[in-house]
Amino acid sequence: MPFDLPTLRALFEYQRWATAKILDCVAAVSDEEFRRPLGGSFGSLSGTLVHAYGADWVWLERLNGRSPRSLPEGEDRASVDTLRKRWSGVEDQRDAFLADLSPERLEVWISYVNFAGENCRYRLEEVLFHIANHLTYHRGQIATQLRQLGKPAVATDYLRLLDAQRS
Amino acid sequence: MIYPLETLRELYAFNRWANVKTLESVEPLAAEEYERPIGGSFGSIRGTLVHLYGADWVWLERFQGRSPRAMPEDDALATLAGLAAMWREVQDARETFLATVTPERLAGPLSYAGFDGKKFTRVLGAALFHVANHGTYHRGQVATLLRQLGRTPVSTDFTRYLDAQATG
Repeated sequence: MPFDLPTLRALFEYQRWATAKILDCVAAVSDEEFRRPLGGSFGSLSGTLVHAYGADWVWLERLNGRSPRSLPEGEDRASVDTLRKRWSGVEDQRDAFLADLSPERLEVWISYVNFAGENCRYRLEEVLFHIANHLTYHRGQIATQLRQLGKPAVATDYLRLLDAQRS
Repeated sequence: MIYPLETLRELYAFNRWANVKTLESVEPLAAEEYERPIGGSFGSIRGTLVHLYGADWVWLERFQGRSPRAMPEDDALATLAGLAAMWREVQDARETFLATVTPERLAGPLSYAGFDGKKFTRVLGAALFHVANHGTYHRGQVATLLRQLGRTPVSTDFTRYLDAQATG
């Protein structure tokens, strides 16, 4: 079993810190910049953010035994503030899920139907690592899009969190 | 302790797979596209990959007790083929390091000086996690730049890695 509970909890503590940091940067851009098409996987900052938040939401559903077939409607029109509130709600629920988790549960299979209608299953520990890794991946993209808009993007390196905790 | 050896070995096996996939997505680019300044942290796909390779090299040096004062520079990094070959060597050496490192050492301190001479002490396991996470972050950026060039990058999600392992 490659991922133990203390490591996964530390990973999600890091993700929560890093998501808040990058959202602070995104909150400083204008609505026009937030929605400006820049190309890339999800077109705009808004598109990337909705995807990253949406994936967090979908996976929380799957962790709870449900298989949504699409993202909730209307998220692409949401403001940064609205997304941030909804995201924080998902993070709260995930933190509660992690707090209740026992080490034995990490090896159970999580089965779900993906958006394409395919049956999938991964072990819980693998799903949890995937979710954390996916956040880092898209945070890098958000940083790229911020810089392409000429805006600052704060470093969210894992070591920056360790520095922040020490000082 | 967090980041046990088993976790880090799995992370670096994933990291290696994901880097190979990313290079496969970049390979079809014309040299002009590879080098085209399109903004973002490092200007171009080449700039981003050179940063990723450079960070991997610098940290491997630190894991081995050395403190380089700058990112590596080499004419071979100008081309994708040159970068891929040098990156492979760094990843090979890192895997050798991970194959021989003990759990006690992972939980112990890693001291090094940054480029500006400032001294740091980290837990070795935490530094190793940082480097793997840094790889994911910049692979995401390469994917965005590829899309902006009208290309479709291969997914490097951890679940795709698991699928690839399952099907051999």
